[in-house]
Amino acid sequence: MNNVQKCMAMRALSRYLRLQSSPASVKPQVNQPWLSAQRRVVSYLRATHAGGEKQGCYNDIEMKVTNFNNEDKGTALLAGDVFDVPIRRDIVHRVVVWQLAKRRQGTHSTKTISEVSGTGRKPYKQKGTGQARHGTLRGPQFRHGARMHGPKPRDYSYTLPKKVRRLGLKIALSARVAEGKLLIFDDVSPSSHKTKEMAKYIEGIEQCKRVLIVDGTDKVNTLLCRATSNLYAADVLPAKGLNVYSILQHDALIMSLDAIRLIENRMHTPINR
Amino acid sequence: MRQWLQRKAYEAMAAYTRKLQLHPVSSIAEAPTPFPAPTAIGRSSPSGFKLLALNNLRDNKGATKEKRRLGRGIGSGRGKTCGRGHKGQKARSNRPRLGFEGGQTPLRIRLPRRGFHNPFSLTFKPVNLKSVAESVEQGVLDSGDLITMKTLKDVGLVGKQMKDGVKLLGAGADKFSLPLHFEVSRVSKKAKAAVEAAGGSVTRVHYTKLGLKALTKPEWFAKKGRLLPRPAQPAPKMARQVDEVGRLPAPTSRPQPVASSNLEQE
Repeated sequence: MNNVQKCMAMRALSRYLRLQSSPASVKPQVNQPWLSAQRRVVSYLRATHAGGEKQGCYNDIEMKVTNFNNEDKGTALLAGDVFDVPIRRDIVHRVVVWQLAKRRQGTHSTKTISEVSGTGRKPYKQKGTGQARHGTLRGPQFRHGARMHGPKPRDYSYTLPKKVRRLGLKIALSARVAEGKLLIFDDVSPSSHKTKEMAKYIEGIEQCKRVLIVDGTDKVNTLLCRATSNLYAADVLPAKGLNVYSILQHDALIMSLDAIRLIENRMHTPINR
Repeated sequence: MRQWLQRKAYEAMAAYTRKLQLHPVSSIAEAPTPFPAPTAIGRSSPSGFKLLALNNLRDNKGATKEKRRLGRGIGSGRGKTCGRGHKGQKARSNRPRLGFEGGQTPLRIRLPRRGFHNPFSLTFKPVNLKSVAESVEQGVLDSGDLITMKTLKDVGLVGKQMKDGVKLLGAGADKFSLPLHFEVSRVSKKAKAAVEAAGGSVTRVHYTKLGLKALTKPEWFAKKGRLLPRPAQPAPKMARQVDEVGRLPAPTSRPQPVASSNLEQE
């Protein structure tokens, strides 16, 4: 029995016992030597929400909805299986590494001995010159010679299981929710196109240097684009383009309610096999 | 000593959980115009602690295995011979091809060829009258409709793989008394006689493998954004084994005889 099996067996056993003994006073009595010494196979990052409740319980979350003018626009209920997922750094790490790998251009190229310019003639005869023997002047040991085992254009992308990609996004969103760094706007269109005002607004957000604004429409709001295009502190994405790496690059996330619903929809549609 | 250890462990745990807890901060920043600062938006305004950032990501311990670096010196333990030992076939880079027996005539050449492969052979899934009658009795199969290979498959009489179609066989023919109308690939004499004696009919229809897929899984084509294929004509030499060209999409009723439909029009 390996640790995974032990862990699963114990979980099943405890669930069974819980079902059997409905009154809370009856506690499962298990005398198994390995129970005390069991190891955690998957490590979650333990955290709590601001309200004090435990993070990662898949509970639906009620959040205030506002806008750039900080007006109260009521509340919205966020799906717990998207915005309150246990935080696993390893999954996010895998997604980020995958994203960075697949965006590599891979156009690096060096020349091998057959590609380097120059003749392939033997420079001088094998014996009698007193020199070291050479068959070509473009070997890797020569100046202007070839490169051994050098880089050639290639594709760095690989496939990450779709379940892992999806889980990564859920975790990243859940982390921002737990940090209190997800703001929900009913509309991400600012009242003016001025960069200065947008910059002031972003400065006002506590503990936040950069913010990612996610619009629910396919084509991002033009006023928003104008106001943020020259700002280092703000980036804009349509909901379609929301991804783990972009979320992690920014300290805070501003999402329109439409974007929230689109993402929830995306996370709830079954994975296409 | 043990108590001291326990206390230490408890303190460490408490410190860790305290660090992870996100304290709400209720400071209100000065509100610039026209956008005031967001205060008490969302859940809270926490301290600067971040759960996830690009600089605190890491994979699980043991998730990736370190590569074995060969030929990197004596200290590495895999230096000169790289763990391959001295000389011989296993020490070299290439192994002989699969089936090579060191120059001896290999088995696959030593033995004569035997048998042949018939590219025209067809294999049909057998369905017996007995099982058809049973599923009609159970109410799974609708006796009023035309029974095609699709309905047989949906009911579960054919199984997962249909191969080249369905052949109706006569097990349970003596007790068969249902007036059913079938469209299947082939039918045995006994089964045909039994069905017709009961007042039903059997038509032997021709479907290719693609046609069978279109018959049983039309949603597959819709998903791929393809049109359903047109029904394939049987080869001339199949004329004796086949009555009609299989219809697509899956038919639910028997084809109207041409003569009668003309009469109705008149």
